[in-house]
Amino acid sequence: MATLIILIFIATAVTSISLVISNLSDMQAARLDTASIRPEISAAIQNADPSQMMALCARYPESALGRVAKDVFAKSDLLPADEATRSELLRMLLDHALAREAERATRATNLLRTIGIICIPLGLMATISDIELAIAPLGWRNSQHLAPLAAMASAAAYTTAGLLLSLSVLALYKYLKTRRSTALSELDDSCSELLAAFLSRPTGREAQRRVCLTPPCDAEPGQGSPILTREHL
Amino acid sequence: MTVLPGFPLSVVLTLLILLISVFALLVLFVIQLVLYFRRRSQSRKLEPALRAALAEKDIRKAAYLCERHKAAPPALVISSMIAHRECAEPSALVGVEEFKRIWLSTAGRAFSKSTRPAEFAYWIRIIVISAPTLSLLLDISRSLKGIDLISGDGSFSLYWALFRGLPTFSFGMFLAVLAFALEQIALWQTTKLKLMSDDVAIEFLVNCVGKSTRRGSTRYQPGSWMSLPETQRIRSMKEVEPEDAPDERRVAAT
Repeated sequence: MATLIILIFIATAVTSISLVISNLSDMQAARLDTASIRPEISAAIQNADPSQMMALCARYPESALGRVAKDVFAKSDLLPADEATRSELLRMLLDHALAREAERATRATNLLRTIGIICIPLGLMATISDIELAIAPLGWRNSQHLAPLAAMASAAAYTTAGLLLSLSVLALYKYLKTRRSTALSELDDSCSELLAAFLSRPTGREAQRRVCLTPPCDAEPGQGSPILTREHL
Repeated sequence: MTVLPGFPLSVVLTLLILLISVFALLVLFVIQLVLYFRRRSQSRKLEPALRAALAEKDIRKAAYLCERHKAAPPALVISSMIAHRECAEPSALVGVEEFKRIWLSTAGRAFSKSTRPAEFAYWIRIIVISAPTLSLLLDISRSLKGIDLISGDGSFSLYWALFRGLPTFSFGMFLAVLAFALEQIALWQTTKLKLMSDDVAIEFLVNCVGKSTRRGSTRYQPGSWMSLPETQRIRSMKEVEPEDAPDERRVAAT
């Protein structure tokens, strides 16, 4: 039992640490991608060209903003021209895309919370098992009433270990949750900008505005990128 | 009060509660598994067909699909929105708000049923932890009364209480862990289905209120009736008529 519990605790610790590391690296990648996509996405929305949007989102696959914009953009052509209805529907689409991103973001944190909560009863169960083993062979009728106390004291180590592990995992959970909340609130802000960009986009079969193009980093001089930026508008 | 030799009523009651909890957890697990797989398989069949029907603006087909795959969570939401569509408001914005209200209320009702296993699991978790703890504490307090703390006489009853109560407590905690896992799984599955249902509902709204592929009626323009084919035909006939021909309409009027 003791070996099993120790193995479970080690596995739990390793899983938690790898979860946190992978989440932090994901968040960092998402942040960099979002920072790159943010200046260009409004222009891409204004252009209303699906291929441009797809190319932009494919270039930054880690960006949550890109995923949200892609989801909303796919349906934005179907929206009515009436400003109020359009705004309401866009808000609903953005909220739904945000909810999807929030659910995606909370998967790892929920797993961490589950691990943190389960560690306590596991440690306690190991302690109880050791106490049982200490009491079982004792001749209770004898006067050796202090004999199992030493075993009980050593068995309490499992509960302590479980509690410490649980506290550490829950602290990591709290840290990750705070980081995620910050990232989600930043995404929420970006979604407000997206909403403004979608609302200012010309609707119907009006001529689409074509503004000068931003050359990509690796492009030859004179070659244009399909993506537009706000600075050029 | 002792029910069995060496087993007081509290211990027997705790064992009974734990047995009932095991049975309830098993039943909940099976129900959740069956319901989830049924809903998921129905949703997987319904979702692409419903999206295609909505893209074609074929509401009758969408209603038929919802009727056919009733167990799928989006079916209930979409069918109630379709039922409301008949008496939709003339204003698009009011219509959207009405649809939204119906969507949220129907989804809330449908998914509150889905979260019931999770709620039951939560209560089971509380019961399976508190019942053995109470029983153990009661037993320990009773056995501590008879111990001579100097000589250690009477410690037998304390060890016996621990020996009897701790496995029950441990088993209760194991059940609590299982109940917690079941609760988390049920909530996660419900969230997943709800997101999918919301996605389809928004698509329905966008397709329903969005740009229509049907040709709309032309706006009224004063004097445009003069250019109607029927009016033009009558006018041309009038021009062809001789001036001395009897005017039937005038006769009828007099």
